[in-house]
Formats: sequence, structure tokens, C-alpha cells
Amino acid sequence: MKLNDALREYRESLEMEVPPDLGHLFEEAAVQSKGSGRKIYAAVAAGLAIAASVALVLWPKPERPANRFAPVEAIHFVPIEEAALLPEPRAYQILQVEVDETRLLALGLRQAPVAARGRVKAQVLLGEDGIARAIRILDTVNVQ
Amino acid sequence: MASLKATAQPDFAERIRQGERAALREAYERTHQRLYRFALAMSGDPEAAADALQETFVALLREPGQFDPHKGSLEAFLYGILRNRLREWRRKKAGGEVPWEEEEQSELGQETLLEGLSRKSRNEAVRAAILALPEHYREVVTLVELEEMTYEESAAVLGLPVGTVRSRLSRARGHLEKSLRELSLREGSAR
Repeated sequence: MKLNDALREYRESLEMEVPPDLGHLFEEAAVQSKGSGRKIYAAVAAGLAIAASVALVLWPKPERPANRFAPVEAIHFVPIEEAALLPEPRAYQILQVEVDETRLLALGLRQAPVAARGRVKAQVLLGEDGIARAIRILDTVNVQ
Repeated sequence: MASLKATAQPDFAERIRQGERAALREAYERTHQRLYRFALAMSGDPEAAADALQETFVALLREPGQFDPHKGSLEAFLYGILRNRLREWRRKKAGGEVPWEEEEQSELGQETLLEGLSRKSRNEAVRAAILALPEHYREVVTLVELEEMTYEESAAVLGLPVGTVRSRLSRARGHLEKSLRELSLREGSAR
């Protein structure tokens, strides 16, 4: 057997190999952001998610309830590290909330407050199980 | 390198750069099989190949704007990420690149090799011989001989002059023949 024939046989054997299916990566693309940048904000994001959950109880009526749930389109959410081990949801929902700035400050969740004693508008990315996977701060409202 | 030729238009590149999910998915669908084969041939380890492939596409998803169509094709960009991931894996595994002594090129270009072995054994022998090559030879063998890229396509992926690809392939083939000849002799004497 010549080298070319041996290589051809080996090439044919490689063509039988099935690559892993990574299609799920493209469904998760909106919230996947592992890496160094993720760690920088992970603690802040986790705390914000907790604060946002508290805010849901304290402020049961957001300004625009009709738009509370919307399809996932945002790409700048900060993933919540604590949720990384949870099963990947098949669907996401965005819940818009307002969190008291002072609460965030008290919890040490803001590094550079936009304004003192106001409320922070944020969006929480919820899985179908109702658990937050990521969060992003939109702006500050109701500044006093 | 036909897999992404159909999508080599500027607008597709821009969609990739903008992180448009449908475009990223299309790029994945068109390239992942050959990228996986490349990773498998380079590493000899299905798990490492799968990990490297996943890391490649995660990198693309995270920072699609890193792809610059002016510097090369998307496929070349993905091969570049994959090669880096495989190098990292190899470094961790081996604790550093194994030095390789250059030898004179074999003159046994048409030698009969691996006679009397089963197809499975022949494939194992070729696989082992390719994995024993130093990385810069293994890459050109994998791209040209296994992925059937042209010299020009391989040169684009590797960022090398075409002449360098040719010379590396020639030397790599010489090493492969030598390895397989030695194996043939060992197998022959064992029978």
C-alpha cells in the first residue's frame, strides 16, 4: 500500500466520525458569557438578582405591566453565576423591575451609583422555572 | 474549502460580525464537521476535539466582532481559534511542545507500506504516525491530505506562504513514510 492510499483510508475513517452537536450554543447565545469579564460582574449580578426578586414583592405594580414579559432579544445581560449549574431553560422571559438604589447600596451591589436615593430600573432574565439567569440595569428612575 | 464559499459575501461577514444568530448558526452548520475532523486528527482525542470545537464556537459567539473579513475568511478565522485551543490542550497535556529533530527527507516515496495489516490496524498506524508529527507538520498533513484543501487554502488557514506549506507537506510525508515503514518492518518481523 502506498502512503496516499493509507492516508485516503484514514481520511475515510475520519469522515465517519460524528462531531458533537453544539446547536444549543446558538439558543443560549443571548446569555452565554463565560470568561474573565463574567467574573468581574458575577457577584454584583447575583446580588442584583436577589434584590430584584425582593423588589418584585415590594413593588407589585411596575409602571407598564402589559410589557412585563417580552421575547428575549437583549445581548448585554450579565449572567448570574449561581444559576450556571441549573438546567438550561428552553425559553426565557424578561421581567422588568425597579430596585431601590439605597437597597442596592446597602447590599453593596452598586459600584458606582448613577444617582443617590432613586430607583434603578433593571431587567431580569427568567428561565421557565422562574429562576433568574441574568440581569441588566437599564437606568435610574424617580431620582429624588 | 468549499464549505463557506457560498457565504463568503461581505454582507454575511457583516452579519457574523454583528453577532446575528442565524448567521452564526449557518457558519456553525457549514464548518463544524471539518473543524471537528481537523481537531480529531490533530489531537487524536475525541473529547479534546469536542472541547476545542465547542470553545471555538463559544469564542465566536462571545466576540463575533473579532472576525475581520479583511484579514481572511471566516473558516480561516475559526481554524485559527481551533488551533490555539488545541495548542493549549497539548501544552497542558504534554507540559510543553515535544522537540523534534529534523531529518533528511525520506527517498522512499513509493514504498509499499503496511502490507498484511487489517484496515483498522492500518488506520491506527496512520493515526499514530500523524499524531507523532510535530505540530507544524501535522497541521499541513491534516489540512491537505485529510481535509483535501488546496495548498492555497491551507496557506490561508495557517497564515503561511504557499511555498512553506508545500515544503512542510513534503517533509511531513517523508516522516510519515519513515514511521510507517518502520512499523511495517516491525510487524513483518513479528509475524
